[in-house]
Amino acid sequence: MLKERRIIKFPQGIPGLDSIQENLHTFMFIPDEDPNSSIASLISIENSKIGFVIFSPEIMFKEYCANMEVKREEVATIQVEATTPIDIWVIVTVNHADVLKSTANMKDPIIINLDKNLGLQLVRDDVAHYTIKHPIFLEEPKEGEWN
Amino acid sequence: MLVLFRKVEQKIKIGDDITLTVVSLAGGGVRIGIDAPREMKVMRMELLETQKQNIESIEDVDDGKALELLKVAVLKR
Repeated sequence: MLKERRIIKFPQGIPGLDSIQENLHTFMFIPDEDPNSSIASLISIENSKIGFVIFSPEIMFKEYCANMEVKREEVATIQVEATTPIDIWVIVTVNHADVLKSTANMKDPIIINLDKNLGLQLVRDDVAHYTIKHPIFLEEPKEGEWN
Repeated sequence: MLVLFRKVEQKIKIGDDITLTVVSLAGGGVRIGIDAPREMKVMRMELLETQKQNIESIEDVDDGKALELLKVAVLKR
Protein backbone atom coordinates (compact mmCIF):
# COMPACT_ATOMS: atom_id res chain seq x y z
CA MET A 1 0.00 0.00 0.00
CA LEU A 2 1.41 3.32 -1.14
CA LYS A 3 2.52 5.39 1.86
CA GLU A 4 4.14 8.43 0.35
CA ARG A 5 3.09 11.38 -1.79
CA ARG A 6 3.34 10.68 -5.46
CA ILE A 7 2.17 12.17 -8.70
CA ILE A 8 0.13 9.61 -10.58
CA LYS A 9 -0.75 10.04 -14.20
CA PHE A 10 -4.05 8.65 -15.47
CA PRO A 11 -3.52 8.41 -19.24
CA GLN A 12 -7.25 7.88 -19.82
CA GLY A 13 -8.43 10.27 -17.14
CA ILE A 14 -11.03 9.27 -14.57
CA PRO A 15 -14.50 8.48 -15.96
CA GLY A 16 -16.98 11.33 -15.59
CA LEU A 17 -14.52 14.13 -14.88
CA ASP A 18 -14.55 15.19 -18.54
CA SER A 19 -18.04 16.56 -18.00
CA ILE A 20 -16.63 18.96 -15.38
CA GLN A 21 -13.26 19.80 -16.88
CA GLU A 22 -11.45 18.23 -19.79
CA ASN A 23 -7.98 16.75 -19.67
CA LEU A 24 -7.61 16.05 -15.98
CA HIS A 25 -4.91 13.43 -16.17
CA THR A 26 -2.53 14.12 -13.32
CA PHE A 27 -3.33 13.54 -9.67
CA MET A 28 -1.41 13.86 -6.45
CA PHE A 29 -1.68 10.83 -4.21
CA ILE A 30 -1.59 11.97 -0.58
CA PRO A 31 -1.53 9.32 2.15
CA ASP A 32 -3.22 9.92 5.46
CA GLU A 33 -0.97 11.29 8.23
CA ASP A 34 -1.75 8.19 10.26
CA PRO A 35 0.48 5.42 8.87
CA ASN A 36 -2.05 2.74 9.89
CA SER A 37 -4.88 4.37 7.99
CA SER A 38 -6.39 2.78 4.90
CA ILE A 39 -7.56 6.10 3.49
CA ALA A 40 -5.80 8.55 1.23
CA SER A 41 -6.62 11.43 -1.08
CA LEU A 42 -6.26 11.87 -4.78
CA ILE A 43 -6.24 15.50 -5.90
CA SER A 44 -6.16 16.79 -9.45
CA ILE A 45 -2.98 18.75 -10.16
CA GLU A 46 -4.81 20.74 -12.84
CA ASN A 47 -7.74 21.67 -10.56
CA SER A 48 -7.20 21.30 -6.83
CA LYS A 49 -10.96 21.55 -6.18
CA ILE A 50 -11.39 18.15 -7.76
CA GLY A 51 -10.35 15.30 -5.58
CA PHE A 52 -11.39 11.98 -4.19
CA VAL A 53 -11.11 10.20 -0.92
CA ILE A 54 -9.81 6.76 -1.73
CA PHE A 55 -9.66 3.64 0.35
CA SER A 56 -7.31 0.67 0.29
CA PRO A 57 -9.26 -2.59 0.53
CA GLU A 58 -6.02 -4.40 1.38
CA ILE A 59 -6.72 -4.82 5.10
CA MET A 60 -10.50 -4.70 5.49
CA PHE A 61 -11.30 -6.61 2.30
CA LYS A 62 -8.39 -9.04 1.98
CA GLU A 63 -10.33 -11.50 -0.15
CA TYR A 64 -11.33 -8.80 -2.58
CA CYS A 65 -7.70 -8.09 -3.37
CA ALA A 66 -6.64 -11.74 -3.31
CA ASN A 67 -9.39 -12.77 -5.72
CA MET A 68 -9.06 -9.87 -8.09
CA GLU A 69 -8.35 -10.98 -11.61
CA VAL A 70 -7.10 -8.37 -13.99
CA LYS A 71 -6.69 -9.18 -17.65
CA ARG A 72 -3.53 -8.05 -19.35
CA GLU A 73 -5.44 -6.06 -21.97
CA GLU A 74 -7.38 -4.21 -19.25
CA VAL A 75 -4.19 -2.67 -17.88
CA ALA A 76 -2.19 -2.37 -21.10
CA THR A 77 -2.51 1.44 -21.08
CA ILE A 78 -0.70 1.66 -17.74
CA GLN A 79 1.99 -0.80 -18.82
CA VAL A 80 1.34 -3.43 -16.17
CA GLU A 81 3.16 -6.70 -16.78
CA ALA A 82 2.96 -9.90 -14.74
CA THR A 83 5.72 -8.79 -12.35
CA THR A 84 4.79 -5.10 -12.06
CA PRO A 85 4.04 -4.04 -8.48
CA ILE A 86 0.53 -2.60 -8.32
CA ASP A 87 -1.72 -0.99 -5.74
CA ILE A 88 -5.50 -1.38 -5.60
CA TRP A 89 -7.62 1.52 -4.35
CA VAL A 90 -11.32 2.28 -4.50
CA ILE A 91 -13.09 5.64 -4.60
CA VAL A 92 -15.14 6.47 -1.52
CA THR A 93 -18.48 8.26 -1.76
CA VAL A 94 -18.50 10.10 1.55
CA ASN A 95 -21.95 10.51 3.03
CA HIS A 96 -21.58 13.84 4.80
CA ALA A 97 -24.92 13.59 6.58
CA ASP A 98 -24.26 10.13 7.98
CA VAL A 99 -20.68 9.11 7.54
CA LEU A 100 -21.29 5.50 8.56
CA LYS A 101 -23.39 5.20 5.42
CA SER A 102 -20.41 6.08 3.25
CA THR A 103 -19.77 3.63 0.44
CA ALA A 104 -16.94 2.71 -1.87
CA ASN A 105 -17.00 1.81 -5.53
CA MET A 106 -15.65 -1.71 -5.29
CA LYS A 107 -16.94 -2.62 -8.71
CA ASP A 108 -14.52 -0.26 -10.42
CA PRO A 109 -11.15 -0.36 -8.65
CA ILE A 110 -8.27 2.00 -9.35
CA ILE A 111 -5.09 0.17 -10.29
CA ILE A 112 -1.78 1.99 -9.87
CA ASN A 113 1.41 0.85 -11.55
CA LEU A 114 3.89 1.63 -8.76
CA ASP A 115 6.93 1.37 -11.05
CA LYS A 116 5.72 3.94 -13.54
CA ASN A 117 3.25 5.94 -11.39
CA LEU A 118 0.44 5.33 -13.86
CA GLY A 119 -3.17 4.88 -12.81
CA LEU A 120 -6.38 3.58 -14.30
CA GLN A 121 -9.91 3.02 -13.08
CA LEU A 122 -11.20 -0.30 -14.34
CA VAL A 123 -14.83 -0.22 -15.43
CA ARG A 124 -16.22 -3.66 -14.80
CA ASP A 125 -19.58 -5.15 -15.48
CA ASP A 126 -19.47 -7.44 -12.50
CA VAL A 127 -17.13 -8.16 -9.58
CA ALA A 128 -18.82 -11.01 -7.70
CA HIS A 129 -20.95 -9.32 -5.04
CA TYR A 130 -18.89 -6.14 -4.81
CA THR A 131 -20.98 -3.19 -5.86
CA ILE A 132 -20.58 0.39 -7.01
CA LYS A 133 -21.99 1.53 -3.63
CA HIS A 134 -20.44 -0.99 -1.31
CA PRO A 135 -20.90 -0.24 2.39
CA ILE A 136 -17.50 0.10 4.05
CA PHE A 137 -18.64 0.57 7.62
CA LEU A 138 -20.73 -1.99 9.37
CA GLU A 139 -23.84 -0.52 10.86
CA GLU A 140 -23.51 0.55 14.43
CA PRO A 141 -25.27 -1.73 16.89
CA LYS A 142 -28.42 -0.14 18.23
CA GLU A 143 -28.42 0.75 21.89
CA GLY A 144 -29.39 -2.13 24.13
CA GLU A 145 -28.88 -4.67 21.39
CA TRP A 146 -26.76 -7.72 22.11
CA ASN A 147 -23.90 -8.19 19.75
CA MET B 1 -39.37 -3.19 -23.77
CA LEU B 2 -39.37 -4.39 -27.33
CA VAL B 3 -37.49 -7.67 -27.68
CA LEU B 4 -36.37 -8.89 -31.09
CA PHE B 5 -34.76 -12.15 -32.09
CA ARG B 6 -31.72 -11.75 -34.33
CA LYS B 7 -29.03 -14.06 -35.68
CA VAL B 8 -25.36 -13.28 -36.26
CA GLU B 9 -24.93 -10.66 -39.00
CA GLN B 10 -28.57 -9.61 -38.81
CA LYS B 11 -29.31 -5.98 -38.10
CA ILE B 12 -31.73 -3.73 -36.27
CA LYS B 13 -32.49 -0.21 -37.38
CA ILE B 14 -33.42 2.47 -34.82
CA GLY B 15 -34.79 5.65 -36.35
CA ASP B 16 -33.12 6.86 -39.55
CA ASP B 17 -29.50 7.01 -38.40
CA ILE B 18 -28.77 4.08 -36.12
CA THR B 19 -28.07 0.50 -37.12
CA LEU B 20 -27.11 -2.28 -34.75
CA THR B 21 -25.46 -5.43 -36.07
CA VAL B 22 -25.02 -8.67 -34.18
CA VAL B 23 -21.37 -9.39 -35.02
CA SER B 24 -20.69 -12.60 -33.14
CA LEU B 25 -21.58 -14.69 -30.12
CA ALA B 26 -18.96 -16.07 -27.75
CA GLY B 27 -18.59 -17.07 -24.13
CA GLY B 28 -22.14 -16.16 -23.17
CA GLY B 29 -21.67 -12.69 -24.60
CA VAL B 30 -22.55 -10.96 -27.81
CA ARG B 31 -20.52 -8.51 -29.91
CA ILE B 32 -22.64 -5.73 -31.29
CA GLY B 33 -21.65 -3.33 -34.03
CA ILE B 34 -23.15 0.16 -33.86
CA ASP B 35 -23.46 2.58 -36.73
CA ALA B 36 -24.58 5.96 -35.46
CA PRO B 37 -23.87 9.64 -36.15
CA ARG B 38 -20.53 10.69 -34.68
CA GLU B 39 -22.09 13.25 -32.34
CA MET B 40 -24.27 10.60 -30.75
CA LYS B 41 -22.90 9.31 -27.46
CA VAL B 42 -22.64 5.55 -27.39
CA MET B 43 -21.25 3.80 -24.34
CA ARG B 44 -21.55 0.72 -22.22
CA MET B 45 -24.11 1.31 -19.47
CA GLU B 46 -21.54 0.37 -16.81
CA LEU B 47 -19.35 3.27 -17.88
CA LEU B 48 -22.26 5.69 -17.49
CA GLU B 49 -22.85 4.38 -13.97
CA THR B 50 -19.16 4.67 -13.11
CA GLN B 51 -19.11 8.25 -14.41
CA LYS B 52 -22.14 9.18 -12.29
CA GLN B 53 -20.69 7.56 -9.20
CA ASN B 54 -17.36 9.33 -9.67
CA ILE B 55 -19.04 12.71 -10.03
CA GLU B 56 -21.03 12.05 -6.88
CA SER B 57 -17.79 11.16 -5.10
CA ILE B 58 -15.86 14.34 -5.94
CA GLU B 59 -14.63 16.05 -2.79
CA ASP B 60 -12.74 19.21 -2.15
CA VAL B 61 -10.13 17.07 -0.43
CA ASP B 62 -8.01 20.17 0.20
CA ASP B 63 -10.26 21.32 3.02
CA GLY B 64 -9.80 17.96 4.75
CA LYS B 65 -13.42 17.72 5.91
CA ALA B 66 -14.25 14.46 4.18
CA LEU B 67 -11.12 12.76 5.48
CA GLU B 68 -11.81 13.93 9.03
CA LEU B 69 -15.37 12.62 8.84
CA LEU B 70 -14.18 9.24 7.68
CA LYS B 71 -11.57 9.02 10.40
CA VAL B 72 -14.19 9.68 13.05
CA ALA B 73 -16.25 6.87 11.53
CA VAL B 74 -13.29 4.50 11.60
CA LEU B 75 -12.76 5.26 15.28
CA LYS B 76 -16.42 4.58 16.03
CA ARG B 77 -16.27 1.13 14.50
